[in-house]
Order: sequence, then C-alpha cells, then structure tokens
Amino acid sequence: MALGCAAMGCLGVHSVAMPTTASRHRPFRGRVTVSLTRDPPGGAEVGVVEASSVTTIDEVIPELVERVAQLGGNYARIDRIVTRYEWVSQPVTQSYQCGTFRFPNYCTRTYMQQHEVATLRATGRAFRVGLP
Amino acid sequence: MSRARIALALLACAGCGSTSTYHVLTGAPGRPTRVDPRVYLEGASLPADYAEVAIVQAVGRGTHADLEHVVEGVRAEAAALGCDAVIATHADSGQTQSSATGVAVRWTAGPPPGQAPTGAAVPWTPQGATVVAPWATPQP
Repeated sequence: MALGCAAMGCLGVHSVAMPTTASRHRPFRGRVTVSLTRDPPGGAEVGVVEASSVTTIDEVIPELVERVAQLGGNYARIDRIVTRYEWVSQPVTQSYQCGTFRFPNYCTRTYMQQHEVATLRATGRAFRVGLP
Repeated sequence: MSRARIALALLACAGCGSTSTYHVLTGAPGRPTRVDPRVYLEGASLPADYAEVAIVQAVGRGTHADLEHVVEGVRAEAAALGCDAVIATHADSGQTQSSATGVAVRWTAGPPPGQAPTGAAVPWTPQGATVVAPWATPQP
C-alpha cells in the first residue's frame, strides 16, 4: 500500500479545517478532549474538520485534533471514521538477466501492477467548551 | 512446478494473513484485563454510563481480511487497555483488506446485564466471547 502510494505521491495525512461561524479564535494550545460518541454539553461549535490518509488512526486522529486546535477548539467531536478501498494501477520496472553465459546482459521491463489502497477518513467538528 | 511444490505453496498461503491493531488514547487506560470486552455496532443501544478510553482500529490483510478477524482485533486491543467494551464499532471491507474501528470504553456504573465486571477471572476463549452483531454466533 505504502509502496504504491509512494509512487503516486499520496503519502502523508491530508486535512482540512473550516470555520462554521463568523467569529475567529486563536489556536488553542492546551489539551484537546476527543470523543467519538458525545457532543460536549454546553460547547459551542466553531468548525468542521476532516483528515484522511492511507495510514491508520494513529496518524489520522492526531492530525484531526491538531486541526481542531487550530480553529481554537478544545473539544474534538469525531462524527465518522470510514475506510474506503480502491484499486490503483502503477508502473513497476523490473530488471532481469537477458544475456547468455558468454555475453551477459541486463534488460528492464515495465508493467502495470494493481494494488488495493485503503484510505482512512475521519470527519468531525471542533467545539469550544468553557472558553470565552 | 511439481505437484508437491504446488501443494506446499498452497499450504504456506493458507496462513497468508495478518491482523494489526492500533489505538489512540482519549482517556486513561487501565491494566490489561482478561474480561472479554463486548462489541457493540454503531447504532446499538448502550448503557449511558461509560468513559471513553481510546479509539481502536484493527486492520486485517490476506486471509484475515474479514469481519471475524477485525472484530476480534478491536476486542483484543480494548482488553489490552483494560476496557469493558468496544462501542460504535464500524467495519469496512475491501477485497484484500478489512478494517474495523470503534471506541474502547469502561463502564462507570457497573457492567450491563450479562457482562462480567472488569477484573473478573473470565477465561479468554472464543466460546466466551459475546458479540452484539448480526454475524455473531448465537450463544447456547
């Protein structure tokens, strides 16, 4: 998976954060609470966030939390984590011996190889709880 | 390739699968427990009193790319974090990989009916596992 993605340049976590209110806040520097099941009581929603990657939750969730903090939120409410699978083709170049014992030679050939790539996507909302 | 080699290759490939588990802590984990954490699918009704401990994920590849292995993976990860259950469990499957994610939790007001309390010495056996899911084997 990572090999296939490295060739396509899609490694890394992609994320977006979008404020949903007119007011803007400074990035929050403290500890951000994370929940996948509960909205914060008394919290004010300040934006929506999304992070996706071909890796696993241990890279995607911290990125999502960072985006929440950038919006000034101190509570990350994750609404959904889904994994989508798709088949991608990539060229693979292979070297092989094509000469004889007396006249050794190396040849290369390129062929298309298919990989199933899993993309993990987490979406959620940023809240401010107990902050002015 | 001889028939013996083909048979050997097939035998070797019978075990061509792996399950990897991951977690991101969202609360304080406990000591690993031998209690079988219960697995609840997203949308299942839950006791109200629980504390989230971690987001857990299991990824199955090859012959492990099925619900059975990834659900068992999130359950094992939750047990390693001392949790009582995995809630909001969601699974996605491809052709060569499967993934399940959920929230590992601890009951804060005692376990719901039918589940042993954390720390009870319940043998870790597949027969003892309880899965609240459509694919679960009916308990005798």
